[in-house]
Amino acid sequence: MLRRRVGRAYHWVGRTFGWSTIIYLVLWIALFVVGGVQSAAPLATPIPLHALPVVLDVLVLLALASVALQRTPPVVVGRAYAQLVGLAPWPARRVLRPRLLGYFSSRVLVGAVVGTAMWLLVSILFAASLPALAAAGAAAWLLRSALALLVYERRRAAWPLVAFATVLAALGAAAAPLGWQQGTAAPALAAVVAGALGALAAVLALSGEGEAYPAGYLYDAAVVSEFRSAMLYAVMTQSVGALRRRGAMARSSRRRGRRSGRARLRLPAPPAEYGALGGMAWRSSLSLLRSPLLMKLALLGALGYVYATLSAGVVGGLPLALLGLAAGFLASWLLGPSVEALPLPVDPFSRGVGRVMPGVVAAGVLFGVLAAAGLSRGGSVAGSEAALLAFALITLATVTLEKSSSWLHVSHREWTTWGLSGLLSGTLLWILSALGGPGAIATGALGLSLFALLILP
Amino acid sequence: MATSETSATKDKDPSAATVTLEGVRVRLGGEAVLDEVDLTIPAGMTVLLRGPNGAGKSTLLRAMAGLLPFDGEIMLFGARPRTLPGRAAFAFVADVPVLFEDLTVREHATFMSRAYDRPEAEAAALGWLERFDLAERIDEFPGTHSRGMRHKTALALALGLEPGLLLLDEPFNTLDAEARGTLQGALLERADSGAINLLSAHEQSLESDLGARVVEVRGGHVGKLRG
Repeated sequence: MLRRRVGRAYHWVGRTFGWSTIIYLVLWIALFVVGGVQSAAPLATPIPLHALPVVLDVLVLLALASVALQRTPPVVVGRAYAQLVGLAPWPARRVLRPRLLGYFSSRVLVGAVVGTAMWLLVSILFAASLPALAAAGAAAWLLRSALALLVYERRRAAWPLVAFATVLAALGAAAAPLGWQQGTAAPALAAVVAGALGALAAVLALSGEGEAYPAGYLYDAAVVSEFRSAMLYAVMTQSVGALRRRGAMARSSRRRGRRSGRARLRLPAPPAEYGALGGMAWRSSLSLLRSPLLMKLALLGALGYVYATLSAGVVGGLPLALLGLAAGFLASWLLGPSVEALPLPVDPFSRGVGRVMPGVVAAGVLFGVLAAAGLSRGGSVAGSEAALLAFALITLATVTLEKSSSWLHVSHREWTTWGLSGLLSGTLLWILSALGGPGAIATGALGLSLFALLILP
Repeated sequence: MATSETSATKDKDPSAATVTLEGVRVRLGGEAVLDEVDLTIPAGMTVLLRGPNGAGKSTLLRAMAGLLPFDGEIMLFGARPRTLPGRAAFAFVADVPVLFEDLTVREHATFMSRAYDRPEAEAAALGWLERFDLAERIDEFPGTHSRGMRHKTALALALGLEPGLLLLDEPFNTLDAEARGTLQGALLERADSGAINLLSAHEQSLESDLGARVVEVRGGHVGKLRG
């Protein structure tokens, strides 16, 4: 059966995309990756290594926090498999075992790829070669996936394991500030501990036939699999007709951002005399306030990354591209929603300022806090200057994204739009570095942003 | 008929109180969907666009709302639809109503009043929402509302703005009997106060119920005002 399915999938891929095309693309991607890796050079002033365990353990804590929110089945099955699960004369867990094994294997693979990317990133930013990061990534991803499954299944062992893993990660994060030396052995230690815990959780998830499978699994799996199909369809239609079907893209984006039920978080409306600008700024603030918790955490992480990178004095090359992408990602969530769906009488200035201002002000406050906390010790740029640079970059990226998405009539949450806007902003910042020090660069970037808001439609 | 009524307003200001379309052509995908449309609608009139499916009624409304590119000239009380004064002059409710999914119904009323810079529109829209029997649901996001409820919300917001021109694409299709009565009353009130209503609809009775003039749209050609 497996061989037949693989054969069918092989022929489908060949017919649909063409294997020669795929091999050609893979070769080019491999060339780009190898070229990128070879051209990557460590920072002139690397970030102190003692900050690394804190960053990594905070990431693990975020992953564990996301486990606590697990309400949908991590492993879903299609209609045919659902029939097997529902009608087979064996316990559901035994029928699902091949799927669960596939799930864990794929997660370990993805974790290893992410870990390898982090190994490369760490070698650039921290000037340290830590190959154990690849194993640590695989182990951490396995642990997160197995715990997510146990939490979804409401297994008795789930929460003690989550609590234990959280305590270990918190201890790891606190180790450096408390003066416990970990050095370069930290990733290897993390790989061993997370691997052992992950293996234990995975074995628990695969075994335990005595425990009944969650009663609502088939319904949950059916809904999630249909939803994923709809998402995949939306992504495919967007990819295929990205240039010709702007209306379809906008509709799809609106559908994905659709909310339901009563509003829990509210903001008082602005006084009427502030007009369209006040209304736009109010709506942008609401959007920021109501963004998902995980997204807020991701935004904080990206803000910290931008600040840390700029305080380390990064210019040029791959770090600059990554910095631009981080700024673009931040801008995509800091920028308020558009009004393109309706022909409203809102002038470009009110639209631009109203969409940009709340997010940029929030980012400015956070950068101010980071600078005041003196978290840039060890960097080549002073904390206040790094905060100013970061604020200028985020402002520029947000304004660029507002203008580009409005002109092109595409959603600012499309990764192509924010990616390009972020890269453009990063490049502009690099060009502006010809002006001199951080103060001059920031003034130039903020001046450009103001010019765009005041002059451009 | 249209000519005589237009000439009555011509002596004062030909554009201030009227909506005019001159030689309007809309091409979609290389095909002419609307061809050489000439139409003048004086103040205080309700006009029904009537014709078979695919005749071009929605296209005409969307072109007037500035949502489709067109050749020729459309003037809404002396302003082009894509300009700010033009956009402020009308409200458009599409057959599939467009709402902002990130705002609750009440927040829509607030936001629209700010966007149009008409503070009084917020209370007016909330009043219309109550008349459409949506008062209990105004703190909800419209995401899970039925199509009829979404239509009522969009209509209440548009009516609350009290625009000079109201463009409605098949507004009665999804409404319950009570809401139909409410909307009919609202359109009659608007026409009495000198505002213009332009809507597409298939119901034969609307012509007499609304005291409306009819324009036949067929195969991309728009006839004269009659009735």
